[in-house]
Amino acid sequence: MISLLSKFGLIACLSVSFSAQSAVHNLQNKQDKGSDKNLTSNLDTNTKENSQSSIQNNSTQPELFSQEQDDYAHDWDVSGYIKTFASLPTDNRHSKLELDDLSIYVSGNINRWLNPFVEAEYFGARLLSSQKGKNFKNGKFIFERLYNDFKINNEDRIRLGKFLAPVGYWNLIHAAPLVWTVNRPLTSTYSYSNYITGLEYGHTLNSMSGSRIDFYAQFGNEYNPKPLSEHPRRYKNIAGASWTIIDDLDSRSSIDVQYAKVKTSQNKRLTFSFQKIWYLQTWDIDTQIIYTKITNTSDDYNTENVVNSINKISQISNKSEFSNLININSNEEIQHENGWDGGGYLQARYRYSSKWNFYGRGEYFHLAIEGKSGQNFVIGTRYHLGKWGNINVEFKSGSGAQKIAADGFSISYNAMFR
Amino acid sequence: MALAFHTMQCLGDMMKKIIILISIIVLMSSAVGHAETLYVIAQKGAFVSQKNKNDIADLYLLKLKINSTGLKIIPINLPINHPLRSKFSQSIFNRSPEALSEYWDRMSFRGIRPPVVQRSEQAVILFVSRVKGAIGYVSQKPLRTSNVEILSEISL
Repeated sequence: MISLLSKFGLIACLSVSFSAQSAVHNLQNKQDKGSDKNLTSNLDTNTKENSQSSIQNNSTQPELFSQEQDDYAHDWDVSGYIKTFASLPTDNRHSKLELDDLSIYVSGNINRWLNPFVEAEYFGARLLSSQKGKNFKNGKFIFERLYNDFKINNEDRIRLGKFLAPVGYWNLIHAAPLVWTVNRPLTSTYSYSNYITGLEYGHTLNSMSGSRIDFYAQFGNEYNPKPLSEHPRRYKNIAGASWTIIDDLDSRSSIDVQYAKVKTSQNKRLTFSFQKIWYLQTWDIDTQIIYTKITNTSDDYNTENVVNSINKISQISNKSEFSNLININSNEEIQHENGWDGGGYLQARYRYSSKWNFYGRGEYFHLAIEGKSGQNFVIGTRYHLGKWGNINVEFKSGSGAQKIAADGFSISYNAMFR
Repeated sequence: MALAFHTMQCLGDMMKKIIILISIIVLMSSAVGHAETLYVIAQKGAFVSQKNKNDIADLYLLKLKINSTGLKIIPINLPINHPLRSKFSQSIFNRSPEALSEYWDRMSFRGIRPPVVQRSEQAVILFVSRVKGAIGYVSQKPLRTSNVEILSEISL
């Protein structure tokens, strides 16, 4: 009897189970069919993270997304970022509030031959200052990047126009919301040309690891350069190469070399750089070391050139609000005939939560211009406001050469927008 | 006779309870099974072969931009606060959605387009069914009648 009942129970159980699974499947089908009816109203074709306004699809235009030749909307990407910056120095410098960067960049991936990239930047607008009579200053507008990529095949690419020099990752990814500190390390910016106006050939060695090699050259002057208040010198005739050993979710490392001739003097700068970044679960660790050998042949470095440089700079400085800085820079170029710039930093970021991040950095740098070195440390925190961006508060202190050792607090609001 | 009938009735009630209990367990395990599997989907015929976790990672890390037939690949994501995106990020990349978002922001700054974000799983299915080369992930097995196919089933 029990055996009979058990068999009956098993059959009934399987039957109920099967019926239940069928019911679930039917329900799922109904839900799918039901949702199909609402798909077009539910469809949100936001093309990027956090984007709230983009193309809305509708049922009358399905071909917009199903035919590649009509797919232009997916070929363009518009983004930007903003950085405002308040510096509260603890030494004798003045406090100020600046709109440091307002940048918009547009990239297109149309076909093999048409892949433009434009980045326009408004920068350096002083909103407030503790210095008398210098409360406000208009910013400047430049094209930071303006190029087109020609994709020869999956591995090879030629870039033509103005682009960022591949010397360390910081120079390539310098947007405030994408880097951790308010103050950029001197190692990442000072001793080489940050921009190239010319040609770059890139070859992908291994697409999976991100390994690639790039060769680039600039013949002549930089297009639409930033004022000398932003960069210590201008260059003409540049050549360089970058070997990205690995570039993926876990780490990034590269070895870079650049040879550049300084425009306002006869100095020639040969730079070597190595960078390694580890992206760990809760930590990012980033280090870069750089060495720049500065040479000046006595034949080139004659009195006439020095006088010409001074005259040119004087003409510029009379029209510029950055005259003090320019004079400093002119002296810099004239003084160091031979010598070296170089240094390195080690930076760590700890992701405490999705909102709070803490970071610290130590940096050492030797300056040819001052003939001496300096070091500093930075500690700070970044509070992530979600799609509204980030707030950074950091403190920097140092000793030695003034260019690296300036002390004080910095507060920044920065955000990406799409 | 009455006792035998009563015993039979009791046994019958008990069996009913057991059957209901087992059915509930089977249903629950079935429902849990659905919630713990993630389906990576693409338009029918767009991709030649099945994909494993590493392949999916390469596609979403934008390392592969075109497939073997020369088709432009468009990875589709859910919003950053969507629970399925969190599971997808952990399962495929062992990273939080925020960490991956930072990665894609860096790609975007270099002119490489990050994954397209769709607000719901239904929108992902529709997008994938209409755009050849799009790949997305959903928590429910898509209908056989739809224009999508499963590239990979990933247990969460």
